[in-house]
Amino acid sequence: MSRTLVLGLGNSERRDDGVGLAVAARVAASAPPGVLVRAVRSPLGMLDIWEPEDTVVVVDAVHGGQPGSLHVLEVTRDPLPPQLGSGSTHAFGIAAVVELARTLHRLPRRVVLVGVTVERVDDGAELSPVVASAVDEASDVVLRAAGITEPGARPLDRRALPEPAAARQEG
Amino acid sequence: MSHSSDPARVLETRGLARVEGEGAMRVVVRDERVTEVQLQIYEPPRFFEALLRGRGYTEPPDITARICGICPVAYQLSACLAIEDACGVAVSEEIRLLRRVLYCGEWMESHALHIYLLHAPDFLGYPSALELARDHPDLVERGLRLKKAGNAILTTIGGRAVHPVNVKVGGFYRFPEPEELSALLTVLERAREDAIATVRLVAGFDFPDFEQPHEYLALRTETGEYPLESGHLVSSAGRSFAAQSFDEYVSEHQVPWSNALHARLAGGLYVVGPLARFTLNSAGLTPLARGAAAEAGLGSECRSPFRSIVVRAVELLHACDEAIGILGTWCGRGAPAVTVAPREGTGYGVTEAPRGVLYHRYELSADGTIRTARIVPPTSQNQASIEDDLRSLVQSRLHLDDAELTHRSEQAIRNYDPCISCATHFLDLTVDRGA
Repeated sequence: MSRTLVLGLGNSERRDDGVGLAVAARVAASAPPGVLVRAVRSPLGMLDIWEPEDTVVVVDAVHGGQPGSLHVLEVTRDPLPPQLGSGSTHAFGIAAVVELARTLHRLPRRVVLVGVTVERVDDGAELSPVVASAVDEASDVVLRAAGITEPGARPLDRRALPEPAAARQEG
Repeated sequence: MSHSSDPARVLETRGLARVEGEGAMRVVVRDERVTEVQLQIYEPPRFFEALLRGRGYTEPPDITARICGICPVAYQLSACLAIEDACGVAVSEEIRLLRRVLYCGEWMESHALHIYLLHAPDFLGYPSALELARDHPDLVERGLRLKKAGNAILTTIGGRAVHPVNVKVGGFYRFPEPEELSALLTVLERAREDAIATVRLVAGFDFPDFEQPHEYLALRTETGEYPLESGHLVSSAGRSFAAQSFDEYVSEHQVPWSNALHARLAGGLYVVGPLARFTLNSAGLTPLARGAAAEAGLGSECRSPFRSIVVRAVELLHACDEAIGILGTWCGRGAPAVTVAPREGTGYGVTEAPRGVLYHRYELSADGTIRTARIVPPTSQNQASIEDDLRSLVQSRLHLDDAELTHRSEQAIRNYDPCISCATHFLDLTVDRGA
């Protein structure tokens, strides 16, 4: 059965490295039933969750560009830059896991990576202000990438949603 | 990798692959002698020790679980044990056994990851698991199945695969339902066959002729079970002491090249982890795991760091076999947790994380506020011994070219499966030797 998965990656104790978890928590608060949102600390954990027929949006912290900027990559067809994820605290970066899945014919039919550029990844639980301010837009991008909202749709009303810090208990 | 223009020969790798995270290492060779070995490790536990001060006594399992994505159960259970010790509480046998099963899941996941995806490529001549998967997809698939089976334990009992939320001081928020455990058993029975095949696979690898005399330190249980979630400490030099005496025996020292502390046991180098556990406790393995160890050629002690992959495979089989054994008769009739009331005092907890002894100590005030916390993770205990292995290994293999020596050095570090998620950040490898 085809599913839609949103997977948040990162470490909420390494400041902006936790942005993927914060975005996933936002998505969980607004995604329709049937969309599976999970926090995954290590990219290899994605292999335990996804199936070949799934549509998967992965959201993670990335280096490069302006802090808080968003990046959307369709990774299903083309190999990712191998350095992607290698500067993180993950033993296996996203690129390595995607390529491993491709080699083993375990890659879902569609995988989209939504990256949020980090400012700092030292010890601490709080996101940098510039990265925290990107969480809402990133969750809209994730929902659109997952096909949950149409391209160009109005951003969701955030007023009723929980703060990321509380929702981060998910991760 | 590069050569310097000074009289020293330099090998350098920026970013050591296939360890859990990143760090840095530097080896200097002058006039055919290794003069300097530095492993640089960054230690989040120090940050967490500060973070825990002033928090409530029920919080350490949740907070410390975030130190490491690979071994959250180890942090949770050492924390629970220490807080329960401070409060003078012991859990019921069914809670203790369920904790063992949960811990087995973490061992399975961690060991399967290290054996198949991080360490086996060294022995099979592949630069990474990706290349290994191209030629031997069946092997990598087996590793992923084993990892997933361990994950199934964590999800069923722990409540979530990463940072289990069902664990609390005093036990669990809820016991799993019988039908959940029945489904889990089916997964584990298949995993056990995969684990047997894993021991046979790694037993056939070629191992360098290299042994080390380090003192081994591990838990030993009063029941004769293989050490996991409780016990007292014993060493290969005949030491025996309770968790309460850990601070007397283990001292930590600052070294100038690393912000991690180097641990010493009574002033000397020591090793924690699979080699130590096996050598000190092999009689506690399940009969199936003990038989597999004998078939794999392991004797009563294992002194070769490179054979740690075999011991890890035996422990993987043991963890799966023991989980099946416990779940076959376990039923949660009693309360899933005992009441833990705060009181003033200090508590100590030591458990066997996949990489070895993990020590927690908490000092509580009467209302349960944490006054001080101390956490000693396994990788920082092994750090000085890893450096010593590198010193001996490089010294005895100076005839190798730079690339080969660098590769062997990296492999020697991976022997210890250093958990850099909880011990280091960036690992670069530099070997600098006289031209």
